[in-house]
Amino acid sequence: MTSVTLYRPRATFVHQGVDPFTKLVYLLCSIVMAFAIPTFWGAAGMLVLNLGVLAWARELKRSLQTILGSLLLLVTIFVIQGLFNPANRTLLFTLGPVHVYQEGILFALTISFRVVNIIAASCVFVMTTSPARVMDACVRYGLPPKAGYVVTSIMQIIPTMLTSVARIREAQQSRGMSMSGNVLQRFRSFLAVFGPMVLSSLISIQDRAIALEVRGFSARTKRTFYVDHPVPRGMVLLRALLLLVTIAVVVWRLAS
Amino acid sequence: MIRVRGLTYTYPNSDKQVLKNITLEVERGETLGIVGPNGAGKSTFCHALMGLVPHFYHGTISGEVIVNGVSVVQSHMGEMCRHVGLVFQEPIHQFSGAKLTVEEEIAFGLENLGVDSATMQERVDWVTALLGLADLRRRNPYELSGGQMQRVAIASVLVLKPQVLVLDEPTSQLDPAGTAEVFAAIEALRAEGVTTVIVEHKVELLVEHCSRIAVLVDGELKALDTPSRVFSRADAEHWGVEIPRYSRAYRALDPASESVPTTLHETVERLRDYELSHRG
Amino acid sequence: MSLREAFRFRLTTMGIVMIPVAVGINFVGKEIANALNLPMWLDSIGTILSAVVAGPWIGAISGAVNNVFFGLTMDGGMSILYGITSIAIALVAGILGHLGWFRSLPKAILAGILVALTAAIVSTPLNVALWGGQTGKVLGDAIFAGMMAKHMGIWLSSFVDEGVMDVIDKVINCFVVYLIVLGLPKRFLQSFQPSSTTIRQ
Repeated sequence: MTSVTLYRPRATFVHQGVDPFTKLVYLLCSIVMAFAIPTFWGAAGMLVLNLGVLAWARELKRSLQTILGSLLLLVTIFVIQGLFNPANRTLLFTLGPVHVYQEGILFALTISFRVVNIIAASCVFVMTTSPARVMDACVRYGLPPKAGYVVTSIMQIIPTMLTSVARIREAQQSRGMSMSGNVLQRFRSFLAVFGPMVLSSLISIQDRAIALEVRGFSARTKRTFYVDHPVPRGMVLLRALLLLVTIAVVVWRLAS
Repeated sequence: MIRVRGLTYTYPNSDKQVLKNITLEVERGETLGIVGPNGAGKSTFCHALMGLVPHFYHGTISGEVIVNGVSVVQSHMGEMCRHVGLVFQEPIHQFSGAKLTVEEEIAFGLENLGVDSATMQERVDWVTALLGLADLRRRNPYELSGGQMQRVAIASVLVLKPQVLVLDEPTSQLDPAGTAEVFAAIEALRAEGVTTVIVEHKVELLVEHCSRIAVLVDGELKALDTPSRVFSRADAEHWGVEIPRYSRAYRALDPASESVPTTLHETVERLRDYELSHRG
Repeated sequence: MSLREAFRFRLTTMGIVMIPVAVGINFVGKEIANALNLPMWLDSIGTILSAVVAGPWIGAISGAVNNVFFGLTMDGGMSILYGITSIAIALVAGILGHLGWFRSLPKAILAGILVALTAAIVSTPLNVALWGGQTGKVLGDAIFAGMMAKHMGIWLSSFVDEGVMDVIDKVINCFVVYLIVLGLPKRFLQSFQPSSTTIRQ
């Protein structure tokens, strides 16, 4: 079955010793901190910490690939901001007719640290955590089970859809549909493959809804869990620590 | 166990009565087969036993449907699934879509109803043993064969311990091996004393497992009797329902018979009797 | 049915099951467009479709869940923040769908333009906060650089950058949704409409 997630099970502490909910707290705190952290040294420290955790989880290589994916965009940010940022006053250097300003470069640097930190923290979460387990944990902490159901079922639906796309594509190709040609022809091929898949998955919605109804999906009882995942010791402390650090960074930001 | 009185139903945004004044009763532990041409209202009737009509589809309903002493029209869906289980055609569409192993899929309904974890374990053990799924518990439900999937679908409603199980064309998407698996499962349920209602086009298989047959045509209940008497009726040809070929063969031999045999076994017996009575 | 009725929040099981299907359609649409090397994203068809078929709220939830899901499984924080854009797209598409705009081709294209404007208005502050105003799409960013060079201000430049890309993309998204709605059985569309139960004695 095709995997739609970047998660790979591994036997590291980050994967197995930290529970999914704590890693979700880590991600959310990191996003807030990436925006709030007021100095470059702070942002750099945060990045080192994130990369350290990724190395611990043995996912450094895949994470760096993900970060490199946004490198081109980051480079153009430096160029455009360095040249044209409205706040540009202080000339940093001149390359022929091109004037590069300090304000723009500093602005681009702030943004780059923010983006790379968010991506790195996301990698920690995404690559080491089973999405099904995250939803399970969230439902235990009070997320409505229906919301948990929605997210979990996406992981089941996408592979089913991709299988049906492959089947339709083969059928259409055997009837002479081409996957190349000019944009218009390719757009037609898109419709020929995509249309039937969408219609059939929409039609199955009613069956699925009935299947849920007959198994108590709308029952108003408090639900229970078939599989039990105990939260490792010390995780509550870790969550509290993450929240405290985040609050401290926000206060630091407001004070500076 | 099931008591239906004067059930009439119309879907929303429609004027056509899909079920017209249906009255029938089913005894505890009985297996009732339902046959009828396409569009006769068989699925709608199944949905009415479960409460999907009217709670899911809405529309206009009159008459009463009492299952296991509970009025279906007055009860919430969350209550009904403790009394009635429904299984339908396409196995894959019946999976919750949220579980990655067979046993978790089967336990989904129990989780929704808030059953405690010891009972949950016990029920899953019971139902997987009953339907021969014990070896498949850790498998991904989407990677099973059609017959296995349909047994998982049956298990996942049966695990709620309903008194009545309704199967709406449970084998129409299955090959002969899968069909045999499903009917073997139905026999196992009969041994457990579960009251069963089956809609099925494969009429020869149906008559082997049912004590009575109901014929639905155009929303009306045309006949409700033992298979033998139903298929002996003179108007049976006009219902648009397949008649077991044994019954047809026997009728050719003995046009006046008021109770034709419907299964191979019965036919052999009757042919013996027939031969004896016509020899002397 | 009044607009107010269309906006009444009700979460039926049909609507809940629509949400993962919508997210799947978004994902698969993007994948096929990629495989065919099409120059657009086509990644909001499911969100718009669910808003048109099942109403603005189910559409909005589909949009939000879409971004949260891909945020949690693929790219983390970035796409979660853009969930706000998805929600806005769905709300506008849901209202227009309710007014019947997806039942005629010219109106569907006009709907595409309105949806694109909505997307651009909501995305611009995010683009400014996250990327200094850029979108990462070559054509749009070239326009952005040009406008910044002429000192037209980061907000306007960023809005035009995003808007140009959105108009092309969302018009095509809405065109595809129009074609799909055309092919859906009436009974299916009705099954999402609110209806009442009458019990006669």
